[in-house]
Amino acid sequence: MLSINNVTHKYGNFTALENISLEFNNGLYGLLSPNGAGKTTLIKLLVTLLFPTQGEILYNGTDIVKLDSEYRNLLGYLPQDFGFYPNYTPVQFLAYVSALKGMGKKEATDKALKLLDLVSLLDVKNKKLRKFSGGMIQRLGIAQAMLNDPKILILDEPTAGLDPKEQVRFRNLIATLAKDRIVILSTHNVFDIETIAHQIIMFKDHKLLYRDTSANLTTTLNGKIFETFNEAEANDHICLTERYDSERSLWRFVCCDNYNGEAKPVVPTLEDLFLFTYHDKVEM
Amino acid sequence: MAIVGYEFKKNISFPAIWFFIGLCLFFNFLLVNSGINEYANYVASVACELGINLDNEFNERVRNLGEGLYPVQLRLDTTHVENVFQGYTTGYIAEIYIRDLSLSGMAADLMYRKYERLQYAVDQLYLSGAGNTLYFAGATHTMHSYLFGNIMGFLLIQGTILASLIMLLSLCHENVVKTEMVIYATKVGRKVNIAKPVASLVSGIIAYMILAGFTLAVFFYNNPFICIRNSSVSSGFNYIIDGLAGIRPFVTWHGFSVASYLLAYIFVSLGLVLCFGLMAYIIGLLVRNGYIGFMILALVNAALYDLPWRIFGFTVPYFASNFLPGNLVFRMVMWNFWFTDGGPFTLWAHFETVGVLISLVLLAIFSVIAWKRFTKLAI
Repeated sequence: MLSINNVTHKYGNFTALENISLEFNNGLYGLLSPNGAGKTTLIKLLVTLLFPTQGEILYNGTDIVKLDSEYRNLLGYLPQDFGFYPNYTPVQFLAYVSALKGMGKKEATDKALKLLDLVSLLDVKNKKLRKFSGGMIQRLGIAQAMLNDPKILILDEPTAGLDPKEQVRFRNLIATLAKDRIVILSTHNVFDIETIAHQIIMFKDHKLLYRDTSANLTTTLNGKIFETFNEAEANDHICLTERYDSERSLWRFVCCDNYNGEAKPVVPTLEDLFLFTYHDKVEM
Repeated sequence: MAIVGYEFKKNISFPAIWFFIGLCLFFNFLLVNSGINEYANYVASVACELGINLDNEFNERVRNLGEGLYPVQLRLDTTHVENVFQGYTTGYIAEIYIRDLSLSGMAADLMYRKYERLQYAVDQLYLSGAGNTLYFAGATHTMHSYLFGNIMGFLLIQGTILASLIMLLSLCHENVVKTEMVIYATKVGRKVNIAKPVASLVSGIIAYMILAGFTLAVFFYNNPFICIRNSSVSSGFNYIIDGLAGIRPFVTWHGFSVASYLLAYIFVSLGLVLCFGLMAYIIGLLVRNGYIGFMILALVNAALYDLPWRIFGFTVPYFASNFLPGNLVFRMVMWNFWFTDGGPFTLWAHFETVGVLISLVLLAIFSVIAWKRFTKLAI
């Protein structure tokens, strides 16, 4: 079990995370919030790139900073801005990361080829990375994170750059992996986690706001989400989205009071909750 | 160990390093082809037959060389040569330095003591007959300065720049290509910055050896040293041009042949290459930016060259500052005093060797401190 106990992290006078407490067991956890809310700071704390200003992070009861390499040996991590060596091939890159993960050469080679196959890069395993598209690089990033069969897999914006088909493949893969390990997936794309995350964790103003299942979280908006073709009606409330339906704009909004208008009530989604929660921070 | 191998491969794949090595080799090629001394080459070529000890047999063989400009010149140079160390005393050098630099107290005492010790070295050189060896006869000072001043000096500068560059590029590469976060979150993690300096120091040494190997190979092809390699560098034909004490014999603390002097030079140069690599390591870990790191390295060395004198004047702290790696390099290039008494720049014997050893120990300690600090740094 991975426990975050009353963790605060400050950059100088700026508080990036304030008094966060969380527990992670095997399963998929979606960190959902707009940029700048503290997701990446939390992830960096979890992978020991940052250290808490206050509080502690424990793995099975021991501070991860004290566990040092023993803890990092359990980690798989894909950072938000995944860097690579342009002159390396995927095979060379994975061999290097394998060495850093303390893997033997034979084990590393076998694992690298399997993962390249899994992320559909086997055909280009000897091609220089500088010729890769953003999506291919992202898939390589996913492969390197899984090299050591990590017990804790931490992915920061993993679907950025993936095409829709790859995103679906990736979600299925992650859902499978989460059965016997902790998977923490940070995103601001609700579709990444809506259907597969066991728990959604949301931050606001650098503090923990929600930690619950997607179903439970969306029930908080039951009876409060409506759709209308009347723009004025939508603008009287907190407008969430606009989409086209039968060549007309269909507006979706939140009404927190008892609503008596002509708009049609709809079932709330995680996206509604996200947009409502951060409506002062998300550009519509 | 595998990580060191990977880091080494990364180092040798930096185009900037090969570009710089190429530039240095081109410059060195021009340098070694610019100073061919025909008389020196003649001396070197006949030394195999004549021997290197200026004794009666030598004089007899020289007389049989026949006529011509160079044989005549060689006869003039080597006839009636007396042992330059016979009756030579060093005390006057200390007196001149103490007077001209206005040394007092401990600095004056140490300067006296240094030249007392040098007297012992002079006596040993006299007994060994080092002064009566051929070297390059009348072309000795020119050839000695050419090899040990210009060529070895430029090689040293190039080696220290390369070692610094390699270290900074290696350390800051992950920051540039944004692989830091992936790497530092692995099992090895930040300890990769223990493997990197090892790989970079080895790369720096290899880079110096490539430069030195190529440059000296061309130099020795143009200037055959093979037959004079056992001549003493303290040959009576060699001398030091000292701005304060005037021209004086080339006295080293130990008797060096040309070959052993070259080897010693290379070893101390390698020590300085390591020193600069470690300096770059410390700065690189602190600033994590190669370009800024290199600028800081250059500025620190420039400041340490001049500031101690401005702050302390000619006192013991100023002289101690000349043990610093940067100052050893600058003094080497400007004065070519290595393995000698060091002239007015030092109060201690073996300043270059002691300086390199002290620097290596101190830099190793600072490297550990910088690494410890880095392990707690936010990435």
